[in-house]
Amino acid sequence: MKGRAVVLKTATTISPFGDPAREAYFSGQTIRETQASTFERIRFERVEVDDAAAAIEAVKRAPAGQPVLLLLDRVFLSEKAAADFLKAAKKAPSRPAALALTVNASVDYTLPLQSIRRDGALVVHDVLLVEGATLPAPTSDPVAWIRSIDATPIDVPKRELVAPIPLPTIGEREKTTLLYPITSTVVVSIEHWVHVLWLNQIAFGVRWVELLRRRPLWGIWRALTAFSLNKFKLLDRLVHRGRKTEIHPKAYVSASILGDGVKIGAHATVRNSIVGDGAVIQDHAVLLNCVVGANTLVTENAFLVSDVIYPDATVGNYKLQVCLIGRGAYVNNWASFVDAKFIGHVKVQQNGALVSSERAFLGSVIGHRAKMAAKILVQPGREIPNDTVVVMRPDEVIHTIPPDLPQGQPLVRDRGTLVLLGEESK
Amino acid sequence: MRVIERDTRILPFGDLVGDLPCLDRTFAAFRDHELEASGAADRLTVVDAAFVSAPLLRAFVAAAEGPSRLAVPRTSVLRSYVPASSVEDDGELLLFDVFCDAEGDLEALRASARPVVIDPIIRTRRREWPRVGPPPHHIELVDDGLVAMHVEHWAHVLWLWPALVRRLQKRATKNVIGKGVKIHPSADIEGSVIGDDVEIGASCVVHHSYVGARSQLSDFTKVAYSVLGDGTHTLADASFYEMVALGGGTLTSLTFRDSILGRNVFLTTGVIFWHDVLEGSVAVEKDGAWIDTGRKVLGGCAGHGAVLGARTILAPGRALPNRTTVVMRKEEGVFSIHDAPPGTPMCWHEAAMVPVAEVDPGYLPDEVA
Repeated sequence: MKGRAVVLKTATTISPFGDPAREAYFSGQTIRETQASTFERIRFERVEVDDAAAAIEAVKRAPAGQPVLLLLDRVFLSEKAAADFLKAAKKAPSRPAALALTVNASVDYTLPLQSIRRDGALVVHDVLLVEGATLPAPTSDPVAWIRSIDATPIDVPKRELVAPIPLPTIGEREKTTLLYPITSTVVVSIEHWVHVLWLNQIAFGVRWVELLRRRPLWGIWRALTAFSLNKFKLLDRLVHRGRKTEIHPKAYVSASILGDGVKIGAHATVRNSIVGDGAVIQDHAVLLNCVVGANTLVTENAFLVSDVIYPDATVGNYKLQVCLIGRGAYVNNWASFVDAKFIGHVKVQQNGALVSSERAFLGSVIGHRAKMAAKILVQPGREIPNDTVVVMRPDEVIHTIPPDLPQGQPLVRDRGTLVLLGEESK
Repeated sequence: MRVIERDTRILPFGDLVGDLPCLDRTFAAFRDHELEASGAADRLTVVDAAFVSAPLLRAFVAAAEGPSRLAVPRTSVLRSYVPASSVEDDGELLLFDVFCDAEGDLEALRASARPVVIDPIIRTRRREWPRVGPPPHHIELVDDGLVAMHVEHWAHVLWLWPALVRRLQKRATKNVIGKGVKIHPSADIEGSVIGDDVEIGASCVVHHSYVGARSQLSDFTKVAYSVLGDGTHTLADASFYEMVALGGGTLTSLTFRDSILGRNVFLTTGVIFWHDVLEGSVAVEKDGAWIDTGRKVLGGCAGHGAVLGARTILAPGRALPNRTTVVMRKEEGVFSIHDAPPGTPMCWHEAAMVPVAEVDPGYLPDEVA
């Protein structure tokens, strides 16, 4: 082992799921699992502690002469970010040292609603190098305690590609562009459902950069065998398929990572997406920039853009955009989620207050096992709690068909049945 | 070949089952064709509603000794086609009213014939169901046209007709295209049977379906595992999955699934035939009783000549009678637009477009707040 990573548990939970932040979803894994695999790759021993006192103890007990990382369990830390932080910290001997990133597209993408410290152009994350340093006395709040450590920010260098995505222009307002980052140096403090959504949206870059760094020859081979310098033809070759995938020859899959046993139906489109093991994408469904969890069913003709779906869900919506869908949730064809605001930014709930998400385009979150089985319209930024079941209003559906309906005369829906036009209740 | 006519009528259509259009012929013609193709038609007696594919009949006749009755094990995939029909379920076997070398009326046949069990290997395809409620979250459906069932309810028509497309093909991937068919070069036809003089527009997709003679599919129509009867006209970008239309009519829908339409139905885009349930399975009405179909996904039925206007929303398993005309409720439409300064947020209210403040003073709509 080259060092020790002390992971301090927090009480942060992600509303409306109620899950601890460390159980939040990141493209097939939980945040805790991503931390574990990061530390495995940089060969750090991972020690999980419940409170500040235990953290101090774990730091003390670390083998002498080795670096000791101290971080919160809710921090998503990519492997590249961790490795580059250690490299940069070697040159700067002062301890404690904190991981900091210069604000640019990838940092800015997930920055709103994160409570992390801003230091000029830097954002300072709750990831510290503390070997040999004196730590303050433990307090009950792990977040407050770790932030009371007076650490020198170390700017971690990073490289990123930025893809500008033009956003819809409403009326005569100025054109706006979303800068979509493609990088593997990502650190995000997961404190709100929007962070789960945004982190997964940039997972595309993280996963691809990591994949190509691990398997460069595969990437070169795929690119060369495109026999073209056309950007789109190259991207079409970049499809990483798991074992036993079934893809209809008339489906279109481009720049996507597919898990084991994924089934994709005829004329389905999967672009720039990550699809989990055993997911089924039925005919004509379209997935653009989505992260789809394992064993999820995307039904015929669904059209999903920039959504993040936890495992075991069923989604059939036409034009579901920028939404986060919980585990085992069900959203049918006619449940609609508004994803844009004409003026200002979408507001979301945080600690009981309405705060701006600093985005004009943001959908809603649907809790675990919630079932949206009705023709409804949900305003942006709303949280639908776990296990919510939404059904049609009884007077909106025809349940009972009277035996002697007049033939050929106009009938209307009325309180669950059909009546002659003009005889309906007001 | 002897057919016992029991005057089986399929509601809400009211047609005799034998007269229902079934792909390129009537049901009676299709049933009799299979009996003839079994090579032992003169030994067989069936009720009017029974349909058995020729390969199954051949296996049955080969195994029959003395008066025999067709039976399959309860574990067969054919069991999912049994609910709401008169197929007898004795706990181990499913007994069809299909007899070999037997004489007499139906009662006598049932009494005298000995069950002969055949357990054919039937190729199936997996139909995914929503991942809600207890498992299973899928059903195995017959994929090679080997079916034995009684057609006594509109749901049976919906289940059987698409399965019969395979009986008109030599190979599952091979298309059968009629005479005078016009297919746009960008259309994609796979494993389907297309009748004579059909027109198929640009970017249409027809997979494993039957499109009846003289049908017109407008651009971007998608049809999969469905049967569109003769003379069906679909409008642009309509999508149909696992549905049956008995012919004629004008159809358009964003997604229309697991439902059946009679002849000459007019279907607009806003119509919803709700087709899945969160708990349990869909029940259908038969002879005044509600019978569980065991299927989690099943839409509804509209009779011949039904006109379904915007926002007709039908609960699962319901059937609208022939010539039902459903129109939108008046207050849901916008008939007039009130005057308001430009930029005023408006909403619909009692058949008009009015400023939001008139409906709820002081309310600031989310879109602009």
